[in-house]
Amino acid sequence: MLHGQRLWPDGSRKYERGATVVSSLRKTKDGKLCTRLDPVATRLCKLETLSDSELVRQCEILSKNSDEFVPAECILYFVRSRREYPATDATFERLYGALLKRVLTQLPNPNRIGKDTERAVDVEIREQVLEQFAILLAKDREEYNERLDFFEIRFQRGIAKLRATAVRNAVKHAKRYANLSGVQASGDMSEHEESQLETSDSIDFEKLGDKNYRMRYFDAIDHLPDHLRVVIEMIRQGIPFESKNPNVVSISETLGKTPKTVREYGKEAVRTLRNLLAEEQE
Amino acid sequence: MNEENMKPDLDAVVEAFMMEEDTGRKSLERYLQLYPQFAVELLDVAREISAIPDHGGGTVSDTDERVISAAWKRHVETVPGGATDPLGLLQPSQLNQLSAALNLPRQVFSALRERRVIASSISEVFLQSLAEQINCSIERLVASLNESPRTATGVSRKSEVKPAAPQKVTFEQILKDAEIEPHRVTELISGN
Repeated sequence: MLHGQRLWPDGSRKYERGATVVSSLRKTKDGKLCTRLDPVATRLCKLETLSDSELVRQCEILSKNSDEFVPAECILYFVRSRREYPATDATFERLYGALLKRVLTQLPNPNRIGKDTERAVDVEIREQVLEQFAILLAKDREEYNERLDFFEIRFQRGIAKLRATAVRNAVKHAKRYANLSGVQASGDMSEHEESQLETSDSIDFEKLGDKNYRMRYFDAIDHLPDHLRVVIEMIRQGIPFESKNPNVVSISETLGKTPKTVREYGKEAVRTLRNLLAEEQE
Repeated sequence: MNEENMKPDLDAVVEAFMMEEDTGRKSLERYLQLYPQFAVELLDVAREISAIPDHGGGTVSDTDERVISAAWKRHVETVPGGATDPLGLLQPSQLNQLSAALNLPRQVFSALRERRVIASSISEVFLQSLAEQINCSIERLVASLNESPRTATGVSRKSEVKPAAPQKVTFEQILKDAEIEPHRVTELISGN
């Protein structure tokens, strides 16, 4: 029996390619059924024809350089298709493990060089994201969980969303938050820096070419209060403080604040970031 | 639809943004324009998407292996279909179909639907057959059987005395009450 034929016995829609049958998703957007991206759908049809042992072997490949590397979306499909399988099913267990390893590859590495406090935050982010994803899977085992459909379409983005939430929570809970929240904006900005704020989507002080610096810079942004973080993120996106053109999005309009206020936020954010980074270097 | 229902939902908006083919500046600006109230969440997600760390090809540590193993144990503790009740969902017409398929009187399946049977008294072979017929796992079926017995629906009662709560009995007793031949009862109980 093909894997696909065992799926969704409740009669949910399926689509067929060649000799294999792959269940379609149930999630809808704007009244239309969501579909997997073509490369994923094509690969699923090929994977469906494999024996369990070969399927597991390919799904366990972690190197993206391998020709047989399986997209995480496909592994998720096979884990979900076994939602009613017993704990004793070895294939089910190994596919589940392969899937969680894919989640881990998209989370901060707690062994990176950095302060203990930074690593503590990374560990918390890893734990939170993995736990949230495991809960989604468990709910899906209990009953079809449409929230997981998104992960079958864009796995990395789904994990990115979980990570964004985990980062916010981890920063709030981290010990170092207590220390860093006391860091105030101080020092003056040069005219050059101020003009950079107005015009650039890649600000000089970011030094983003340096991977370690970039990581610390993003960590520091995470520690800014919401009203400063949102401004610095929009500056990074190249969104202007204000605009006379109603069709152009501006920071001022988005936040409902005057141009003068959001400029002050921007300056305060930069000065706070600079202090946070300087403090970490000490 | 009232005004409350018209309010955009944060999760739905963020997810719609993530579904966009391109989540770059143009899309982000459009969403910020439409949903400025979710600016913090949209910008956080946009940054996480653009900065996805992918350590593909890396190894998995012993700690990670232990974490995955623990997650697996918790995962399989979840009863498939636990949120729904396969026996409670059975319709009268399905009872007739079960009766025909498993060659037993309809009242046996009524007793099962009403949770009047002690689950542990049913052979694994019969459980397997029943689970296949009603399209659910054995774990889900047993979880459903273990629920409290309930009174049959649609039964009229003229007595003024409140009926006693139904009690669970063995599967053997149900089969005997249905006047199944002794050798068949033995067969069904032993699972041979």
